[in-house]
Amino acid sequence: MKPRATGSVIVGVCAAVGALVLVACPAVAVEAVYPVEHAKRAFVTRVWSRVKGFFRGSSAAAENVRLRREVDALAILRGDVERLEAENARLRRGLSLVEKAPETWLAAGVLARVGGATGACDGLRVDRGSLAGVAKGAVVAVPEGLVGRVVSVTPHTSLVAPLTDPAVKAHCRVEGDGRVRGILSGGTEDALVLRSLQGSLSGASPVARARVFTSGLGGVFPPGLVIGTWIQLNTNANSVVTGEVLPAVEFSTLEEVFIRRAK
Amino acid sequence: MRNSLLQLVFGLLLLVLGAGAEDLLPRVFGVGFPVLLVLAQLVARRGAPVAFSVFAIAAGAMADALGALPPAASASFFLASAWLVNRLGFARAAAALTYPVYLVWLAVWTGACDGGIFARLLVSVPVGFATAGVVGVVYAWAERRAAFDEVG
Repeated sequence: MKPRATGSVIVGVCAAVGALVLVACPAVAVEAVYPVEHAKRAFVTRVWSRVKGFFRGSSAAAENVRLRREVDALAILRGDVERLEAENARLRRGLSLVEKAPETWLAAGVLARVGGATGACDGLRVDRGSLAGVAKGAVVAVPEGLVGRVVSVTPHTSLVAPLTDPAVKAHCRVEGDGRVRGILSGGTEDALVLRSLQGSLSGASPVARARVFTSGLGGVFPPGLVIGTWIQLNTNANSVVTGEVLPAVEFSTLEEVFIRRAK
Repeated sequence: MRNSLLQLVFGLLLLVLGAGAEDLLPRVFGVGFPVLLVLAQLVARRGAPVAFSVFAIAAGAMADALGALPPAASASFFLASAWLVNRLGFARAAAALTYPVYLVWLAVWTGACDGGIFARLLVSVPVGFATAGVVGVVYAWAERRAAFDEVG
């Protein structure tokens, strides 16, 4: 075989091996595209936002002043929270209760909506991965409420399955006397579905627009995270009762989320 | 050897930029722009069987990974459509025609055969055709700039 032909064969074999690596290891593909996604996000946050700010002029300056005041107010609140946390830990030690592991919320930007060209699956890819301490199963939220959980992690990115994904299940309680509980499982951006309802059949049906929180049962999601507002009870042809919940978070417009991780 | 290496680098660049574009471009009524599918078909139009097969598998694997789809769901379809285009030779029209089939194929794989699929099928034809037009022009320009055959 001529040297030139041998070289082409070597390149071809390398390409074939590379293709097989991509098939066997999806994280490689995600990491390969990460620089492109990151560059787009950097452009939007660093350049485009400044261009928009230039044209917004005085309103941007007024918003800046308002946000500075909010940051100052939150700094004071944070001091209170730290004092209460320390007091809580001291009391738990005094009562010989197990101390909770310290945790923190890590801000992450949304890189892309997952689903490929077809939109067959739904999810968010965010720009924090295992290098930032994110682990599979971590809880993801925004100030408005719970978003979902991390289902896979690469060094620089994480894939977040939202509450609309049927694979994400959360035990919830409905605001009121706390008797109505159920398991949130799937739904759409307009309405999440609360199944396996307890308490609703014995006359404890919640009022419309009552808030729905995570109960903390199951150990996946911490208690007290807002999921949405109660809409109504539904009964299907087989007499199975489910609850309809309006999500607190608008999943399609998220630009930044917070991931819970160990401190 | 140098020509093959150039083609490999060109292919890698196409994959990364194509995947980035597919991931970042907005969806039209829930339907994204099938940049990787179009690229796999454009490469298949004139490429050698081994080269375009490898590229189609790699492009499909990228689409699977970025879309969090089951392994080989897109790779198998991309490979089949690349062979089809290579045999029949109509890359741009093929994208518009095969994209709806790809939607159905993925809906079957992922079990997402809901009522919305019919609306997406309608939208997918013009979206596929537009993607094929734009990507085809850019690809032809990039191929001319790379000028593999002149390197030798």
